[in-house]
Amino acid sequence: MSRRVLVVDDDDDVRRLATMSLSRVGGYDVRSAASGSECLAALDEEIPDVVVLDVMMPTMDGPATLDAIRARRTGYDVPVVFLTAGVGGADVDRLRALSVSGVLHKPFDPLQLPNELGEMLGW
Amino acid sequence: MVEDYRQPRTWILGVATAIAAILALVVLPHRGAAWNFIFLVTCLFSLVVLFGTSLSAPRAARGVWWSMFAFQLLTMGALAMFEWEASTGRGGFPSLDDLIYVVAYLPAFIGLGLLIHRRYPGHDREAWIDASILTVTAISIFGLFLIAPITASPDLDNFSTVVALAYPLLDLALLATLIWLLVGTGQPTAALTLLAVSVALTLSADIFRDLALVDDPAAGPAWWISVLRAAAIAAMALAAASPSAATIANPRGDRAVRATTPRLALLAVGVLAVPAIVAARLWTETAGPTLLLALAAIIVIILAVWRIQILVSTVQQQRRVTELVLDSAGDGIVGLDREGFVLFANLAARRMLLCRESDLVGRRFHDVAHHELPDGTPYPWLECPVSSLVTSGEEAFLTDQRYIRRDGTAFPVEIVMSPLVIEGVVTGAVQSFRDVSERQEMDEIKRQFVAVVSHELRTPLTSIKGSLQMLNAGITGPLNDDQQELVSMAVANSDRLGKLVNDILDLERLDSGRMPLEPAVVNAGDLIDQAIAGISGAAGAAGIRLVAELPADRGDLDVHVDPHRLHQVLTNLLGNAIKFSERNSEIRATATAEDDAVRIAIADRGRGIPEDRLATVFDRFGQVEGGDARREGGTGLGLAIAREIVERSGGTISVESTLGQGSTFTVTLPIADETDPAGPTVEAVPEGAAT
Repeated sequence: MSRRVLVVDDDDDVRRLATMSLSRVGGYDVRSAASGSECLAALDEEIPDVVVLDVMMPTMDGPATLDAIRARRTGYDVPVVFLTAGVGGADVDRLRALSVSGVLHKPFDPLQLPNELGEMLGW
Repeated sequence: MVEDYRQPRTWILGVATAIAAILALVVLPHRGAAWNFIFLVTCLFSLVVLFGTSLSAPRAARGVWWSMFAFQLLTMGALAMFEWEASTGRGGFPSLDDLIYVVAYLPAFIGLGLLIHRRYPGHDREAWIDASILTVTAISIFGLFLIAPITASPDLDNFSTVVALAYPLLDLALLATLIWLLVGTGQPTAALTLLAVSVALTLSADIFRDLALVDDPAAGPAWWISVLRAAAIAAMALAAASPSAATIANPRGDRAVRATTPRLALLAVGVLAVPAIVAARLWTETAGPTLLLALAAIIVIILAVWRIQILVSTVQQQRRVTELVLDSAGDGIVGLDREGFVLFANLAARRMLLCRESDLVGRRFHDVAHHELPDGTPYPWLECPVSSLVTSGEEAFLTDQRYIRRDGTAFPVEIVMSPLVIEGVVTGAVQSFRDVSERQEMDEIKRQFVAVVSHELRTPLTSIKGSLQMLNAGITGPLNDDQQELVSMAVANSDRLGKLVNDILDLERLDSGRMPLEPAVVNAGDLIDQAIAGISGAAGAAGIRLVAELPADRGDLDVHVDPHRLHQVLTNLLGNAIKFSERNSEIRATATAEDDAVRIAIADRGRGIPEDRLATVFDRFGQVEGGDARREGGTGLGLAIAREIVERSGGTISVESTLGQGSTFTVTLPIADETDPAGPTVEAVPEGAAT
């Protein structure tokens, strides 16, 4: 059974591209959510193998969603990888310091994205 | 000859000779042949020197010296006439010598008048008042001791009285002129001083003669009066011979000091002399012009009061100007004594701190406005850097400080501390501080703007680039040749756009200091290896060999830099070298240890850079050819970023190039200090965000 990935991004196109990359190139079983609250709703149904979480989202941003995930009764220990359009440096270090498995950068190469994700998680 | 005696050395010789001559005159038996000879020589010397100076002096001074020449000539004429009259028995009073002597005053007045006019132009109220005070005093004394006895003398007929009165009156006028000359003096020169001495000596001789005339009009002058005259003549000659004779009539450059101690003392004597005379007169009840003296006393006192008022108002005005300057400054300026107590606080300081003057002055500044740390805990006086600078007397620029307003709110400040030094002793400090909250807000707005722009640019770029890459890779099915060409073109250009966005954001963050470098001890050899490994794919695709020439022992290559940023720099330099190299050529990367730096050189055998462009390759968008960026997929910002990073790391970056043979970029980096507190060696971990 292939790995299950939950992609969370408020931008429709980026979400669709990441979904397509991870499913078509990486061969993962990908579901997606357009916001932090949708992400939490999706986790209620099923706990994936990894959550790819956009950082900058309206109302509930990446770190806030991460907090909410870690505060859950079930699936609180799901691996999370941030997907950020930030410029690196101190901002990225701050993200890394949170309980995540890694940080992916936008713009990403859809041909490489599944590999990078897999390496981060030791797949 | 005319120019010769104005050489300083010749002049000093002249002074010595003149003093010797005067002493000789005093010692020699009066009216002896030797005395007469020396007197005559002095007169001739004076006339020759005055004549020479009058001819050679610049236009402004010429009139003065010609007048003095005429004055001396007539004075000597009068003396000669007196001798002649005495020897032929035609003496008596008044006679022809007296007439000539009176006429001699005319050029003296003209000369001194010209001097005063040229030298002290403009309105000088204090000089007028001071001169008036001293002149009124002089009038009182002259009136009492010279004029009153002459008018009261029964021995003189009307004509004789007029001539006898002319002497003290002319002397009085000469004295008034001399006083004017002295009180208006800016920086006295030798010529001016000697001229004044000469006039004063003449005046003394005249006054003694006047006194003698009062006693006995028919008596000849005493011998020492002749000595005074000789000295006056010699002083005038020296004045004309002095090096400063040519500039004597130049306008006074400075504003004369109005309140020197000697001057005020002289004025005090002048002011007190008249009432003293009046008191003495009343006490002894001797006859005399008491009413006139009382009037003089009143005038002198009024003038003195006026003078004091001017002095006080000048001081007040200077203080107002100082206060105005301080209050007009936009920065808060606070003077502190060595204990940190406030001596003064300007308007901006009081406004920023919401304090009245009384809230600050006399109180310890730290207690008023600096007593709390950002977290609300008390800020001990002993730990405060501002306070320690007050006592140490050092200059310093302090940032990240917070001052507290009177209402308890705080604001961020930058402070410049300068010691307050009075006569070499540190007596406190002046601090000027600036409210930087607005600037910090602006920085924050800018930071947010960059973050938003960064996000808003990258998000669509992610979709565009990603979609094109998927298409290009044939994930969605094969493309025909035309489609493939178009998609490749789009991929390449979306790559370039992505790099450009990264570079612009990098530069912005370097500019604003928001890309903090995190230096660590890393090995330059490792940095080179990692950069080469990272870019070897691109080099292989371009058919270019990357060679690292590193010493076997890398121990000397430890540097103190930010490994991520240096990786970015080296990757950029290697990338450039690859772009501009021919296929099958070689790029060498070397690292060598120097005294206090490590030198990294990256040499290619590409087309090179024209000499006139070498200076601008590190500028933003400073590519050698306008089309380079487009053709080679660069942004034109890579080298600018590299320079910024290297220079901020304490290193240098430079380039040497021969057209057609290749370029060598050299980076020097500061070596890791063994005592450096940076801690253990950190692995050089390249970050994805390479240019």
